[in-house]
Amino acid sequence: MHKYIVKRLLWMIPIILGAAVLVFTLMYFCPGDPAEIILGAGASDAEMEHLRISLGLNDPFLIRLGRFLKDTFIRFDLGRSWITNLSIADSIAERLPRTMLLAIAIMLLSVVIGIPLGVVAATHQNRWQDNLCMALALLGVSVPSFWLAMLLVILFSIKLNLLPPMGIGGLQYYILPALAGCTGGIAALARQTRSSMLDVIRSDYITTARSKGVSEQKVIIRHALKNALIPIITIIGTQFGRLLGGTMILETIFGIPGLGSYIVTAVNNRDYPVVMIGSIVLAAMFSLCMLGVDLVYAAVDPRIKAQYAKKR
Amino acid sequence: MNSRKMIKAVLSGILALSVTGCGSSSGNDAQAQASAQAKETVMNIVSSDELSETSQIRDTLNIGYSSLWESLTPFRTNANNKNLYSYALYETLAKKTSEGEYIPWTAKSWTMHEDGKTYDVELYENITDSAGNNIKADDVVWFLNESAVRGLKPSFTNLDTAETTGDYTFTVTLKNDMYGSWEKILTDTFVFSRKEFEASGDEFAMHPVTTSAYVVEEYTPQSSLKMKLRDDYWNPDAPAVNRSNVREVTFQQIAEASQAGIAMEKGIVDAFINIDANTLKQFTGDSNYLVHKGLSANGVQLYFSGVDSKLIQQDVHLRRAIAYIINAEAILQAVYGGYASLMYDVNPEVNDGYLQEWKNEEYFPYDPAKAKEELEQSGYKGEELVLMCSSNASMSRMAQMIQNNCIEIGINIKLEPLDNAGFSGQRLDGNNYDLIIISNGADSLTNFWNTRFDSTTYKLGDATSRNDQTLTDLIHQAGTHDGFNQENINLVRNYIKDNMYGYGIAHPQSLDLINAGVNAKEYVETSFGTVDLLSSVY
Repeated sequence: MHKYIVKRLLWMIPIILGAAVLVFTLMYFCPGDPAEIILGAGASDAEMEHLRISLGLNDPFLIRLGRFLKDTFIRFDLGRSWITNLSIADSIAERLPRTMLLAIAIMLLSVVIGIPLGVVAATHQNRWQDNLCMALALLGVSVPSFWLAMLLVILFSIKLNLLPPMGIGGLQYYILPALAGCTGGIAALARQTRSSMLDVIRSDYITTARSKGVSEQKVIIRHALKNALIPIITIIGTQFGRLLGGTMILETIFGIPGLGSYIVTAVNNRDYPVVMIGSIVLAAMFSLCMLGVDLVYAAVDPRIKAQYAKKR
Repeated sequence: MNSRKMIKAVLSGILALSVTGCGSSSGNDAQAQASAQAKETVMNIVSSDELSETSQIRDTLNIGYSSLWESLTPFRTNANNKNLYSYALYETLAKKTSEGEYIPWTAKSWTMHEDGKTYDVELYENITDSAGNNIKADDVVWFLNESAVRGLKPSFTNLDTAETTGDYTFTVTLKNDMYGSWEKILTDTFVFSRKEFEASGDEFAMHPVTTSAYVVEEYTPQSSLKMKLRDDYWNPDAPAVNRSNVREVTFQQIAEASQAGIAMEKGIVDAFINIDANTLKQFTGDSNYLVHKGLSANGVQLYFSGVDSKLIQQDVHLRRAIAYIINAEAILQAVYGGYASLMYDVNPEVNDGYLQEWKNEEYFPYDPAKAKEELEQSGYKGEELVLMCSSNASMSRMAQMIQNNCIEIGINIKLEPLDNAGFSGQRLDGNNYDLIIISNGADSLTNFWNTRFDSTTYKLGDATSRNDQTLTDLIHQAGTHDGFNQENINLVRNYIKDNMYGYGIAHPQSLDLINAGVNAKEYVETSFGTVDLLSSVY
């Protein structure tokens, strides 16, 4: 198992390198002159040329790519933002915990609400409970998070005066963003859980368990749900990975200076170093999430664990 | 209930909720604006020289902004430069009042040589920063020369050299005698200790050692900046217009427009500077809030490509036809909710040197008959013209309105909205468009003309790639201290207007919303159109 983990971690190196080259190339061909964006509307051509030279923007593609890869992966120098001159490593270290907290809160809500909804839908297939759960799932997918965010703020902050509408501070600041951001996850998990459960509850071993007099609750939770978990875990892992870079709208609405808004602002400003390092960090985090998913597979399914052991 | 009925019920619920949500923010605009006018009169705004000399010190104040600096470094571009917190961080050589007067600040005095480009400056000897360092001429000279090298701000483009002549004296030499150039340097030169700056390791990005009346208590990029009055401020008897009367001030970034309204409503911020016009409307008529309306530093203008091979550059009648068919009054209402004024020149009226008499002249009013007349004299035969603009909501909406106006007389416009970076990257190359909407401003007419219409400024010519030597000569002639007179100003202005190189569409207002509980006895304005809550009298 340990060897498998090490192997997977080593596999992350080409993945991250590939992501770095891909992002660098995309940014290189992206229209928009960073020198002009940094200097603003009133700068003269001479000033812009001076800045282009100092940032190395006039160098050929391969030289710039080589310099970037060398700085990042050999010297481990993540560099500074062209716009703010702040250390990118420091900025990410400051912002990542906020985004992680938000992503974890969203995932927790999604799991706690989404999986039970899916189970209820599956166990009451084609009845009103199933229809209600699936209608809620449909609603969850359809409701735009920015719209829901404003409704939640109006209800919980303005009308009920229970939660802060924006800002950073204690955990209470993350409740509304998490509620606004979890609907998509709830919907995806509910639908996936229903689908997986329907596959499982028709299996022979479920019938056997029932015939042995095992209580329905035990059958559903211990036998059916456990065996239906694999695709659900996949959804949780990919959703979490996506959330790390995809909470920009919520961060903007709720005034949370997180990683998503950091990278999107950098994209808009053509702040190449921030975009590239931010993307590499996200790629690494996503890879780690996927590794975590694979390890959880092994934890819930002995067959997969046996496969990992065999590969050793 | 079958599933179809259930879905119908859910969808009806969503629709009802959305309608309710939308309805709460709308209202009777005319009534709201009338109330806004009434509120404006309640605010006791006084001019710089009428401001009371004594004020109570207010304990705390929370001020909202839609964006804060991403870093506190003094080496900055012009972006987001006109705000209260920048002047609460770093002292400048001089301060500009809302009336356009320059008050010596860290500079005790300055004198201009006869050549119009050399200045002798004397600093106050008792300037200290929050770490106790005495600021000397060396510090300022280093900042000036470093700014010229870094080339971040156009203010320092005309700076040739700065040299120390004594502990507290230095000389600045400009490349050209250009009216307004020195004044930009006076207000854009941040004064701080070079030693502390170099020792900070991050160029003062997070923890600057300030020379102003405040020290930074806490700074979270893209979130908040908390500052506190210094006990050892070097200039406690500063003129009232720039005195700091708030002990602890927090500037909070609230990027989302509706959240700005909620922050005001909940009392999270006491005031919001440059609030969105649509958000403001929900507060107009409410006696708990005061609305301050000032003229922003930038106008919004339509420029025409100056590339010689383009029809739009070759045909002045076509350009004039477009100017006549734009319904600027309608744009003021639809895009700015009425919180903007008409322009009478391509220059915004806040620019130093702007002649008020221009407001009495006719400036391309919406006139379809005249537009048709001009179009008939042009060689236009239905070609597609590209209108480039920034993709933000107000610019896109304005572009759509201009497109519709042009259709009225048969001018075929294709819109090309671009994101901020794409727009910045393409706007100086007139080959990319026929028409372009830009929000532009400058402190003076000369700076504005130099940036927009001087053919020697950019690689391809002026800011739309035009190469007009006659206009460039006129700009240079009007730009010197001797040449900056009414006659020369009118020559440049009329040349641009007659040739229709650019058309001023709208001058948006700077809108500040203040909780009436702030309760300042006298409010004073900044030189950039907002209310100055730090120097207001409490």
